[in-house]
Amino acid sequence: MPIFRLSDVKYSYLKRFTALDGVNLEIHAGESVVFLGANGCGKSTMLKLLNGLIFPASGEIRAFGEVLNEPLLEKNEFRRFFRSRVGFIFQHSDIQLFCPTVFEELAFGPLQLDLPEPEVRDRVEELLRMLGIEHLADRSPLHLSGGEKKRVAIASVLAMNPEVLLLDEPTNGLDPRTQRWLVDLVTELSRAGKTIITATHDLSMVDEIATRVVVISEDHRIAVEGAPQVILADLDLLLQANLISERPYAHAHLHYPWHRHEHSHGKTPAFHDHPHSELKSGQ
Amino acid sequence: MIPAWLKQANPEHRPHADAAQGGRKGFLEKTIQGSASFLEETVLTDSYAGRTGLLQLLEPRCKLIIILILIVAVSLCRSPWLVWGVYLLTLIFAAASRIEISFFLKRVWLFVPIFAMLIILPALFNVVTPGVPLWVVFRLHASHSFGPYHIPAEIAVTQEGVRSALLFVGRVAASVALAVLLTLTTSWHRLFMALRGLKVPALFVLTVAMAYRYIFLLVGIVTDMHMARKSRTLRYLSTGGEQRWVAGRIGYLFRKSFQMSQDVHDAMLSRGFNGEFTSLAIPKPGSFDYFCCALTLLLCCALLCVDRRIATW
Repeated sequence: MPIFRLSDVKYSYLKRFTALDGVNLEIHAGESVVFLGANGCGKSTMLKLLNGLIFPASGEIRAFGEVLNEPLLEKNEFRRFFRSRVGFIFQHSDIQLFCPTVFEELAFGPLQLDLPEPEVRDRVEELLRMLGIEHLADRSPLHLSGGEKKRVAIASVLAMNPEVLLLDEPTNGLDPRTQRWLVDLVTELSRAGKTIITATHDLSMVDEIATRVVVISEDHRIAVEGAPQVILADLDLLLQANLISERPYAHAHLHYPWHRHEHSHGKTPAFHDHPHSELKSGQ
Repeated sequence: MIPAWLKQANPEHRPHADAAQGGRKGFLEKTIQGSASFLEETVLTDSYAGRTGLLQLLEPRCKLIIILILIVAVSLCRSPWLVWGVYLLTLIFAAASRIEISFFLKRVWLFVPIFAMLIILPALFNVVTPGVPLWVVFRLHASHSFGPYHIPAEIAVTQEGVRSALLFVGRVAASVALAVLLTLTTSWHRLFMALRGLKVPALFVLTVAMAYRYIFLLVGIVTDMHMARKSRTLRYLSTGGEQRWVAGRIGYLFRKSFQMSQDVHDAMLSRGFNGEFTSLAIPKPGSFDYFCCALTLLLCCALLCVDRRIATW
């Protein structure tokens, strides 16, 4: 049985602006699915629907076998079960952090799970160590840098040990080192058996974290889904979905007959030189 | 290194959907839903301004003047029948401007009965408005006097009281209806432009326009914050817990809006703002707009003349 099953799901904001139009999809336990799409195609809406924060205008979402709707999530037992199983890391960490200190922020979820206080403290301390933020424990989340806030936001969700992690544009606004750290963490969590669902338009992380890629087109429908290697090799599709531009980094070509950048084929970062002609043909 | 507990399955058991107990929606949930529906309603309202109707044809400056003239006339009018006549006229204007009457009535009467009727309720009785009794509500053993105040032995609704109430509620209803007509048939952008055209200081109009734009941004942030917390909420907090959360978020919003105002000001400075606001020229009204202004003025003068005649009869 899939964790999520979406059947002909439609959603529009303010009953006027279509965000998703007739989406059919299944997501199974242990998968790492990446929703790829341009700005405004409906990726974040998809995550909010999967998290039961908003509900489809028509169609049906089944989560853990049950039809996910407002009355069901108002039932105490199901809400407790669902919210502890599905964690959502929002794009803007600021809106997610509301406790006076980082320690309390991380303890918020486990305390709601009614875990004994010593266990909550152990859990929080382990997470602080794991994410390298022990020194922030007594700080207010308001005064942290963007990267630190992201780490705290992730830790606050992981503290509940969710089975499914929803990540909305996780690398947005992060420096390269924090991006690298995040990709490694997501890979590790995926290996630990978590179901990871990521919405992004950042292609650089896709082949590392995804077992399946779902491309959402600008007409708010699923354009195609498949293995990351297949999707990323289909340049026409990426162009059509507005995920790449026909003239990327044109400025570099003014100076060099080749284009140099970092790759991570085979998980090993390395520099490669691409002849200019190769770039023009879209490789 | 991932801790061992994070690798284990979550021990929460899946309840059967039918067996689960119902929860309750807190005041917070209801308030946030209210703010979301406010946004929805605003978008819907904007659509009226784009329709082709009588009031949409008018240049915003002239429309503002017409509405102001009518509101002043209604305030000066002393006959309840004429005031209610103007209110009926607003219904005709609404229909001619392609606004659904049911929506228009709801929009106007949502506020009028709550405030106006509560205020005017004591004025119905002879305790406040002496006059010819229409309906005796109850009788006391004797009349009482407290300094300048006199309570008669028979507490009754008076003819004069009903007249005052009709006049007061009619004035409020007509004025609110006129203001609603103005805002429904004019986009905010054009309304702000009209204010500038009427020599309201440009900086003041700019500040109001920016405040209007940032209300939406802040409502968006509030909705997102609520969603983020909802996503981690396993059980509804107590009222006290919710109040603490709200207090914390209000503090955050203050900081955020203060920081944003500084950023906005810096962005304005970086684009050459020097404290004096220069704006684009405002389009001039046409002959139809002038004609409507003159006609309204004429009709209002006639209305006030008739009102004085009725008063002297």
